[in-house]
Amino acid sequence: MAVSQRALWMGFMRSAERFPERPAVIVQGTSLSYRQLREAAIRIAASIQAHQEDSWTRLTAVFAHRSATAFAGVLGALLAGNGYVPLNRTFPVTRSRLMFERSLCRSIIVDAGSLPQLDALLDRENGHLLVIAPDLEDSRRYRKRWPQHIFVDAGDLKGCAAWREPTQDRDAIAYLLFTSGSTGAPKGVMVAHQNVTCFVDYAADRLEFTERDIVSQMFDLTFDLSAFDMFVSWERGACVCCPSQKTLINPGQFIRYHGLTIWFSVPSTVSLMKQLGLLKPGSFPSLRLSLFCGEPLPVSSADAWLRAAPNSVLENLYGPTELTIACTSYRWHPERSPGESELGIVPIGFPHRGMNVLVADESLNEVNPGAEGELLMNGPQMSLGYWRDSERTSSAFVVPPGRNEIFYRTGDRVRRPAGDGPLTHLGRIDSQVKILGHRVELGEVEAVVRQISGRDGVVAIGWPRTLSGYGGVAVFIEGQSVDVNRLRSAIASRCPDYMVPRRWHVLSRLPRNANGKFDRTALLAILGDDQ
Amino acid sequence: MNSATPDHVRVFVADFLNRRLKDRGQGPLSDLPDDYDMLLSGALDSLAFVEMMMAAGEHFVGEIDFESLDPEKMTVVGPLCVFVSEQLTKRQ
Repeated sequence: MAVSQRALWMGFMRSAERFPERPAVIVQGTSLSYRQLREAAIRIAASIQAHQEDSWTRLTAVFAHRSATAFAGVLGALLAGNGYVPLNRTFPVTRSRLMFERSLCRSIIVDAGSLPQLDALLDRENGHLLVIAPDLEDSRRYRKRWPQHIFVDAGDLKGCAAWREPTQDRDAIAYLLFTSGSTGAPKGVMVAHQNVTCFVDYAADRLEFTERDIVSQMFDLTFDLSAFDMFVSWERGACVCCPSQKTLINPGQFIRYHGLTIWFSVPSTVSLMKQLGLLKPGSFPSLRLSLFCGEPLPVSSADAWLRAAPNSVLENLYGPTELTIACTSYRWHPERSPGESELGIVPIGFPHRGMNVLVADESLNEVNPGAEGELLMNGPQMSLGYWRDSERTSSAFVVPPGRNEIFYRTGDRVRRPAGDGPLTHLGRIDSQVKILGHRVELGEVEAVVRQISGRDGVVAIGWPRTLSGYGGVAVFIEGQSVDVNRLRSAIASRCPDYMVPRRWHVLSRLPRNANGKFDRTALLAILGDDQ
Repeated sequence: MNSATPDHVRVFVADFLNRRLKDRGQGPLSDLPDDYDMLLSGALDSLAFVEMMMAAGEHFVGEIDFESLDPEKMTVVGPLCVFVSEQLTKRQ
């Protein structure tokens, strides 16, 4: 297996040479060509290089959201020879500050929309920082308030000639991405250049990206799937099309207006669009490829999407941040796929090039073909572990018995294929709960409710908590006019009593987190008020 | 069926916004001018806006055609109230 030796920014720079006048990104209603984005990024990179001290951590925070500076900032950090650490102004500022402090970044790029939160972000920062604000005309107010920091505003940015191409260690961090930790404190996943370039090479080849593609950019930078949008597109000269917050209200109009050819989102977006009646047959003829990742994809959502996008190939991708963006893929086939799906969920498919799969029992021994177990994987996309957290790294990145290689424990329950079929996702290991002593897979309850109700947005939660597990199941359904009594009877005729939800909530919209996934914590809070 | 004149829709919108502000521990809006942009002001995010539109359809017992919704104008109170009223009246 050849391991990629390239730095992540090289694909963009090559496309900038080949297609200088083609659009690299459309954001805030403006199209930036590869030449323009390259220049903006290089000026940021040169400004970092001019002030960066040797003792500084080679990471730069990008505090920017759906703006030209967000994209130029990501590239600028990389072109300076640093990894980027995305921060998100739609998060509570206390969380952004925690991420910033933990990352030990000494440099930060801020866009216009995030400037109002900058004082709060810097509030507890005692060190010496470099703050680059390309959208700021005059930084005097900040210089006065924070005399210990260096501020670079639009007028101070260095010219392109000052940039020096960085030498890149392939194990250097390309991005440090904070995900939620079970203790409530975010943990930083260190993803190396070679992890991402391996993924990008495979994805760009397999999905045949070209300079004619226009690709949706639905994910915030703090969600690692955004790295797919940017780097796979820029590898081949395609255009990344970033919707504004307003445009997100009607993704259908966004697809049609820009003539998108590639769509990539979480499945919850499909569920919402279906509910709003936005998936009319033939609505999106321009799409040639539709990709979903981040959550289980219901078969009914795949069906509805393909009716709306009849010229599109549909793929379900799977992958935790620790395995870099996505590490398995499944291409939907109208005849074969319904039979290969399990619990009404589209399979997660087959490992990417060079990635190895181990489906293991609780002792981490491989289960027999056809049996279920936890998914472990390794290969060139396996990240470097958790930033400054050797304890968590060693508990998640393990050497299973009888093996001599490290595997990452995904915490996902899958079925090991009996033959040459795809991997099927059965839920999270921790979504198995004990109810009155019975082992119940919440994914199975969700599947039955989904099937009987015809609704895609269904979340089951163990509730209420007891000393030995849970007393029952609570279920949330997204929609209106759901006949709960009919549903309860239908489920009672198919499931044992302990699996029949005791509490039912029908909400016009289920709460979603910043990444667009169903927010189980918010749902638990609803139950908390409903004891 | 609840009547859906632009004024009725405005009362519904104010009530929806105030309930959300209360959930976040904030006080009610003292005024709801025609040019108030619910999204840009931070009162709602895009998903909460969609939720409000669905709740409006439920409250006024009608269907709102999301396809014809212009997101640039429709997050602004004045144009939204007229749009929703027209949509619901058309279908009665």
